[in-house]
Amino acid sequence: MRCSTGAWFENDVETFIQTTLADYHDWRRAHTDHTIVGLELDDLGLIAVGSHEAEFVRDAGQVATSTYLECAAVRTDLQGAVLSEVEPLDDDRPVTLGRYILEALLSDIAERARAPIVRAVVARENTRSLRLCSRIGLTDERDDPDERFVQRIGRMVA
Amino acid sequence: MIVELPLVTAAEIAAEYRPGGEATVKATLRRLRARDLISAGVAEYPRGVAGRVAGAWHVYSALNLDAVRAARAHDEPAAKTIAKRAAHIESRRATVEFVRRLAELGGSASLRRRFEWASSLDDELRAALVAVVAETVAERNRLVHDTTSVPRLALVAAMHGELAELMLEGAEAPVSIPIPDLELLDSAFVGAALALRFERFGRGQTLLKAAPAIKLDGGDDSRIYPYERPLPSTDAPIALAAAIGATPTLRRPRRIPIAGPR
Repeated sequence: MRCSTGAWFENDVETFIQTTLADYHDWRRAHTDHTIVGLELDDLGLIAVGSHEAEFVRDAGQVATSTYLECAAVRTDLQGAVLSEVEPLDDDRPVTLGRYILEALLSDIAERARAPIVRAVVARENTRSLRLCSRIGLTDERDDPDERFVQRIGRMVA
Repeated sequence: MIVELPLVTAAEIAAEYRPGGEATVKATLRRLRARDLISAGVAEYPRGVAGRVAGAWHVYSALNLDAVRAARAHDEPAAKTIAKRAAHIESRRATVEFVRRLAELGGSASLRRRFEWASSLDDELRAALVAVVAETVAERNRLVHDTTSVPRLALVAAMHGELAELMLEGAEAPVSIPIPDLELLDSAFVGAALALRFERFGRGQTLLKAAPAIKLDGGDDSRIYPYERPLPSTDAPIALAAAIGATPTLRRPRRIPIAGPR
């Protein structure tokens, strides 16, 4: 699946999805409940994909199993596409494919027996994804060891 | 950037299969080959004066170390699968060409020296080396799921008496190893790169095996880790106290049924 329009961070994600994600899943599934969620249409094939896995955080002094949102990507030619049949989620904004894959990932995460904490790592230059993170509630921010990225964290309603 | 050596010798495979074993290398490899538990390797016959063949140089994909470890653990199906992938890497034209070029670099040099020379002398060979390592690591990630057996890359940081202190990539605490063991690997000097493999036998017994690795100077600073992100550990949870509040920020999503296995 092509999901990059040329930005370095999009190239990184595209390469990760095309070359690494499946192997990564094989390895980590048994250890971290690594999960891949894909949206596939009969006529268009795979149009969006995302993945998440369990990780450990220290929350209120206790070690808890939380979620690392590893990636979420939409096929290049469908980025920004609106799903008119899907009911708006908030602010009556139309639901885009990107928003929908994130919603599907969060829905899957919500069904896991994990602490309701979700963490993602986003490139600082990736303003579109940062806006989307803010919209879904990944609003707390902390530095990532790699200065090009920032970590976005949120707590889900239990 | 430190990378493991993507090719190993028959002696290294035999030592991985039977650590401290007495059987000859040839006999051990013959038995393993007969059961398809290792690949055939790549042989090169460098030519000396007047084009005469000056001995044979036979090396194997480093994946064979993982294959014989699986064989030692009586997991022959896994060993055969890994050996098959090792054979695939060895059969690639780029690998064969790479071995041919390495074989030309002097008959008595250790594998480590050959790789170092190759990577410092020739950009093309260096790129070929990184490509073969990347393929080896990717195949291992796919096939071997025991994180303790994955090579950990390290540098010799200091020598203290009989012990050399190694700094492992991604770890704070050093590991020590007897200097005579490093001498056997042509690695008893500060700055030598190594790939360490741990093997736990339980009840306080851990086998540590060191193999030469290569430090590539210059070029981009990216690293080839066995895995890009370590597995999460309860011993080192991510401290989010400074970032996350107690108030929920994510609403509960509507349930979207997802088909397929969980």
